[in-house]
Amino acid sequence: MYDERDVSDRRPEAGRTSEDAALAARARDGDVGAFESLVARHEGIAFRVAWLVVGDRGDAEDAVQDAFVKAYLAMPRFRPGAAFRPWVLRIVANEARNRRRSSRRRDGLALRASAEGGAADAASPEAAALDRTDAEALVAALGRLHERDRLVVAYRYLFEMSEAETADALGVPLGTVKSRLSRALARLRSELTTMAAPAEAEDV
Amino acid sequence: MSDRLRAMNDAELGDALSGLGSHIRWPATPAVARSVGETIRGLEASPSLVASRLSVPSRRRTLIAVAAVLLLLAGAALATKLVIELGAVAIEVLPGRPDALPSTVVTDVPLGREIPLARAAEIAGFPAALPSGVPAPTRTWVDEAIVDFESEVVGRRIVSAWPPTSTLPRIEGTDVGAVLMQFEGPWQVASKLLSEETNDYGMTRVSGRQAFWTTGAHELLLLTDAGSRRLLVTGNVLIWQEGGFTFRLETALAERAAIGIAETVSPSDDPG
Repeated sequence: MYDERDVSDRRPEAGRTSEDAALAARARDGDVGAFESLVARHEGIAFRVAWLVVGDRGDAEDAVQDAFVKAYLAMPRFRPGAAFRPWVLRIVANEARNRRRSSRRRDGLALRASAEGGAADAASPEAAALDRTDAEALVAALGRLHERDRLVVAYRYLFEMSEAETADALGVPLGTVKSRLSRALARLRSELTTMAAPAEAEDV
Repeated sequence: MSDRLRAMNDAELGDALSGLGSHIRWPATPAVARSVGETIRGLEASPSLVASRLSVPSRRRTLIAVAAVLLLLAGAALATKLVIELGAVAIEVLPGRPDALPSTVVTDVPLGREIPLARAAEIAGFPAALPSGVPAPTRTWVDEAIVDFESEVVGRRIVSAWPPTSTLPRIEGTDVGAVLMQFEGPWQVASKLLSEETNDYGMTRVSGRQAFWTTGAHELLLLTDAGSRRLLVTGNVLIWQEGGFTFRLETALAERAAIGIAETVSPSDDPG
């Protein structure tokens, strides 16, 4: 069973965060229903982040559940006015990492391209311009990246988060996001080269 | 694969990645909102969880109960004179002298999983906050303790140790010059038992924030992944909170010098 929903939230950031802030304020006061609404708004991206880290659907679901419960417990420490999404994604990624550590899973993820690969994403003409082979190669190379590189690429490009929000979600300064992205893209190119080598050898 | 991808510069590759999410076969997203809400409501009926959300003395929880049991077992069922709560660490001051102190010092036991400092952030989920005026620590451990058994919420910590140097004299009975514990979150996972007659103690300030200082041998009860450990502390200890963490610095230094080190420790903000 696959999910083709787009979890990138393209609503104006100010509007989304103000709705989140209102719900978070109620959740801080112990309103579990408000917190459930926050979970519903962010469970899609949270699950994908967890899956990108642990690489297993069941572990990702457990990590997301635990992370949201932990986030609720930590709500008294959530700064009023701060953005909820990157804050909770940090908790989700931490929880997923700990699960991966417990299960001693090796890094690497079997990312697969959609059967409808090459289908145009109306919001992204660049991606639509990729042919199916390139899209498959790019998706496979992403799966071969170290989790740290994979997350920064996912936050910034797949989930279309701003650099500032990516920095918040990773818990690093803005400048670090830029340098991590640059290194991650260099490694992505390197993976593409490694993956191409056997095929090119066969072609000779 | 075309050479086009490999020839792209960062901006072009970034553009190609944007929107690629729709090309990935993501597993179906489970709807967890209701079950998360139910879990929370169920847990809120549990006093332990309610306590964890409150910044009140009732949050003392399991650890203090363990400490109390140990005291009773040791025949030291004396009335506690004073309890101080500072984030992850609770400090109890008992009247009189301690009956028996543990013999194991902090650095005699595994303080968790020993790791390279460079991997601390990846493994603990938050970076090690270290003093800026001293060299990097030579040993680093990460450990966690379940702080709520029903929700299985865990509190993690990073422990760093430095060898003795001219500026960090050896802590009596140990082979180290300093030990810094960085506890994640508000949950109490450590308890110190001080004795009125054998320990000097008092509140102080680190970067303007309330902190605690004590000297003299005493007992530290530490909740670890492997259960609780009773440890002997021989150094001078400074405890303070910053950025969602509780720090415990043990050295052979005087209070002012220890505070000088503590004030250079600057954690990045972490949600826990």
